[in-house]
Amino acid sequence: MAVSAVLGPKLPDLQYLKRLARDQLVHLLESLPGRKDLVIDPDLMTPLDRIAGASLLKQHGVDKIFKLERTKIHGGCDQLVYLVRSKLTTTKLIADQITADIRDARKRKYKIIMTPRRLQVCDMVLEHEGVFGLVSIEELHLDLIPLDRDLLSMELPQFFRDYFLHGDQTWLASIAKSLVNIQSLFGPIPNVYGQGRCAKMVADMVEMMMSEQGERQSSVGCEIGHLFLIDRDVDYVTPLCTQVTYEGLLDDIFGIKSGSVEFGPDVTGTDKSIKIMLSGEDEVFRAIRDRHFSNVFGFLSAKAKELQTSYDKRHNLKSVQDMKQFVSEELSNLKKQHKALTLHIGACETITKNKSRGDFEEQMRTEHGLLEGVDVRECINFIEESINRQHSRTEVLRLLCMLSSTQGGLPSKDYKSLKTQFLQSYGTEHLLTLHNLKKLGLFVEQQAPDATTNKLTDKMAAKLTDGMASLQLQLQLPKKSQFRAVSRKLNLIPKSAENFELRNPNDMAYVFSGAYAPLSCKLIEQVLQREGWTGVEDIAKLLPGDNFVHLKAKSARGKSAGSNPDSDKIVLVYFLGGCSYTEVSALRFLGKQKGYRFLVATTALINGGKLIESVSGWK
Amino acid sequence: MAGSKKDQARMAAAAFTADDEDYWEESAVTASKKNMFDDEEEGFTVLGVSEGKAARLSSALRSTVGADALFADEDNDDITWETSSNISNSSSHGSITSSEYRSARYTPPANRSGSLSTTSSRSTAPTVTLGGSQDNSLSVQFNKPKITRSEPMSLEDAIVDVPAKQVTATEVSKLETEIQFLRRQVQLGERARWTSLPVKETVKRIILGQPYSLEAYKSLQDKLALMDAAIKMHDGDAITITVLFLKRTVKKSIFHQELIKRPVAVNHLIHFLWCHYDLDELEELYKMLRRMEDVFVLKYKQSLAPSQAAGRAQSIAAVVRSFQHDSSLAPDSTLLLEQCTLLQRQLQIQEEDKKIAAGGKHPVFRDHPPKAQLPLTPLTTTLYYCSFYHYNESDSSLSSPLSIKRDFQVSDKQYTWSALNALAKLHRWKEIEALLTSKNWFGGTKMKACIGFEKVVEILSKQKAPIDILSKYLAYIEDPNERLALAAKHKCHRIVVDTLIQLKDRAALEDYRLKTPDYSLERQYLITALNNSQVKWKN
Repeated sequence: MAVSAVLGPKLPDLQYLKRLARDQLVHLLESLPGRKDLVIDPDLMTPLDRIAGASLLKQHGVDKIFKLERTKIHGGCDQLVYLVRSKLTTTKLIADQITADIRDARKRKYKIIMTPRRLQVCDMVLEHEGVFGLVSIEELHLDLIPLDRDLLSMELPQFFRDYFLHGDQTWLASIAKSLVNIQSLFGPIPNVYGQGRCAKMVADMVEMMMSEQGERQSSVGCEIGHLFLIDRDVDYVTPLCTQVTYEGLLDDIFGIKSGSVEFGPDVTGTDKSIKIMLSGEDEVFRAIRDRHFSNVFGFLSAKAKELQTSYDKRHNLKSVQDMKQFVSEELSNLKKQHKALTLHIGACETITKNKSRGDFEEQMRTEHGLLEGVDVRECINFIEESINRQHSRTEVLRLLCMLSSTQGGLPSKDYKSLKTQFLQSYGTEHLLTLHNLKKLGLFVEQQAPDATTNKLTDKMAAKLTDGMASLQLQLQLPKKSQFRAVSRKLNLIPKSAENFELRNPNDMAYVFSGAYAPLSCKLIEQVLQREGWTGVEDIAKLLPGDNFVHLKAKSARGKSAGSNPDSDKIVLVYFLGGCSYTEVSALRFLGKQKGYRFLVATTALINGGKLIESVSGWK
Repeated sequence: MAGSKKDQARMAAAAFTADDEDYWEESAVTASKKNMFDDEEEGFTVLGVSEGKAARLSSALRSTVGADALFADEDNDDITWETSSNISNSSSHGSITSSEYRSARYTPPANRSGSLSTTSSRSTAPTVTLGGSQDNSLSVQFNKPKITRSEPMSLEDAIVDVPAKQVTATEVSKLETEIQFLRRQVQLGERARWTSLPVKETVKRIILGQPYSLEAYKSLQDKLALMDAAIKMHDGDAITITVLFLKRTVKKSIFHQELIKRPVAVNHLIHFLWCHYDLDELEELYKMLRRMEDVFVLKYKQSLAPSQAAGRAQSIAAVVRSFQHDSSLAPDSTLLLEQCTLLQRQLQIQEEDKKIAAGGKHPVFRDHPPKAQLPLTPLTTTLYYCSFYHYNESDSSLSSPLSIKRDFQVSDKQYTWSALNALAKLHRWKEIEALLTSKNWFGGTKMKACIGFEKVVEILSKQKAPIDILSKYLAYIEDPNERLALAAKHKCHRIVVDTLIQLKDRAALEDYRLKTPDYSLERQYLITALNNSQVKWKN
């Protein structure tokens, strides 16, 4: 297609993943002949929408669709299919419903389809509840869902909480499996880089699974040259920042769900809400999604003028032939663009209204101050004032976490005072939330008054590597990202902040108004450039978790038949624990700058609000 | 703060050339150090877009074709899972009938092009479609992923669906994998069920979802080796299964002794117990691990279960009592104790207030009857409530805001915010003045606002305070540029004039003349100032 030619190396077609999942779902439905009702896990509703619509389900014998809830399922036919995430709580809920049916002397056939994988603990729960013999259990390998031509997501936001907060590794196998699938479709990925504990474990599991499949003839050419696995705790700061790219703002303000967004009446200008898919297929959206917001409106208004001119052509149509051509070819395209344009301009309007309200400027100044490490006292005052005024709790927590993460924890006095005031303003119940944030190392008290003790505790941790002591330490010590030092070494803060070019950016920091370049993306840039960690060891040392690299020898690379010659320029970046739309934009920018094409995979798309909400201890 | 004095002076001067709205947006941007959202074409405006402009453009666009007509074709294809009306609630008996289904058909946007273009493109290039399917024939035998589509295929789709060469290769390798898998299956099946597999093999089987059995692992060494293999291979499911297996098959003391050495196993057991609601067992485990903070958090979480304030106060008090001897948890215990005290106090206040409100004599209760329950609200909300309804009570009363400030050690700033907001809402300007007046050592008085007078003005202006009240507090803003900007925004002309005199900016004062109403006292005041020969104007 013309577009990919312009953009450089061609990306592998991710739609295959979607088709495979859809075919498997159809197969699972057909394996239970006749009419059946379907009960869907609420968590799966939106993601499933990307794979199969209601009509597809209907074609394959689904009669009614229910949402899995804590209530009994009445009516319906005598076959029931549950389509759920494999979780203990969900399994227990299903067992309860089946038990209730038995009590009511209702006879049904049950099938549970677990996704992304059937878990043995879930089997155990069904056995424990005495319903194991009554159900057939299947699995649907719905792991990475293509949300766009270069974006894949597991749509598994709870992974962040389960792994980073509770240390539960259940989803790791599914992440590894998704990488195995990718490699069986697009060929083995020769070069693998990773940063973080989880990244290392996933890489190990991928290796195990691949060797279990057996060494294969290289019949599949290699289409992806590099894989970068990165844990979210390597960089908490980036997703905590307020987003200012267009797509990031859409997510912050309207909330993007599985790649689609719902615009309310204030955007559509009618009394209806409209839900649209956000994708690179939409020409208007493709042009603006990665731009800094200040650079969006000018484009849209120029586009509107252009559109008007095209519409006006209809007055100059000379012949019936011309007319026919105009109607058949141009008109529908114009209408499509017109619609997209109207919605995006409406969205801009709402965003502008939203951000001109209140103290947005002061908030941005605070965030930039924290990133740069200047005027920290004023930043704390602003946060305190927000607490006193009971501004949005999530927003306040986001700023508190940003403060703590950029400063390497808070001095005891500030920590206690902010904590007390926070609980006074939002309720003592949120002690539970603060407890979680402390466990994650997102909002912590500095362990000692001076910085030298950091090294000391490192040594202590190294000595007490096993047994209970390390467990205790692990829980008490913040995972120090040493943000300031890393920021200096990676040049995350541009020097010339004053006249930063936002329109034709030449620095990745444009995604945050020229104040900061995402740590995660800069790290990826450095490692890719060096083809490994040599030369960046001093930075890696400051990041949590270990790093690793597996490179296939250059000579061996590209030998395999059918390899895409561009594959060396195709990089798959897998964020473990979520990534933000701003990071996706930053990687697209990096790709354009250095001639790469990035594919971004993630366990979920997140922003500061979603990150905080997902670890809230009290709703 | 960002923005030098010079900048501020510049922006203050600019204030008089633009109208108020634009001025605000511009000043905000100029003051921002990072040239936040500047828009070079239009200059200024927040986020680079002026609201007015956006609104004009969008309404223009909508009117070209009626907005409704523009989105009309959306009716059929926008219903998704999320639309709750389409998914029957199991409790409501309702369900989707087949006709509803049809309308719920979901079409990806790529297929939205009008039917006209679809047919025309088909008729012009039928060979492409045909050729595509011929190429397919080989791979079809190889179990090519079926593309199930309910929508009519457009030409573009048909082309996309033609598998490239690699795909055929993918399928081949997939089949090969399948053969290998089947071979392995057969091999595995041949092995006797009762001999124990190496632990690593069993763990692999758990991970890969193959049948497995743990019962052959009878010796403690085997059980531990199994658990360690699971930990080494990182799979959470396998770890949980093997940990639970150990727990089930050895006595507690051995289990704990071995568990404690393996933090990863501990994490998985804890998470399992959480999800399985085995909270008593979880508590026991935490205690065994001496993780008292976790016990504390667990007990606190449980104590929040009662939805009524009185019940909750009791259960929280019980938690506080059971941890009173643990000095490491003292700070958090204190917070809980305060929460209890607050809950009890809220109940008492509410009890009294019901009587007052029923009496119908209290002006505030009469004009603004409370909309929500007081109990279970945070302290800050309670403070606002008491400032609103009970401001002037003596500080011996339970509901007096001052007594709350004292008893809960509320900061001065917090108190000022809450009280000021409540009083401003009630338009009690005199009490606000008293709130912001502080006595000095010699009996004199001085205006003081710990939150800053610019914030005072902000709150008052939101509650539509009269100009003279606003002017009074504007005058106390120390920074003349900030004062000037705010005064201009709120049209407090006298303050503007005074500040410009202070800044000796005759030119700006000259410009400001037109902003004052004709024949007004303010105009007069301004002209007098301009004629004042004693001021040493800088321009």
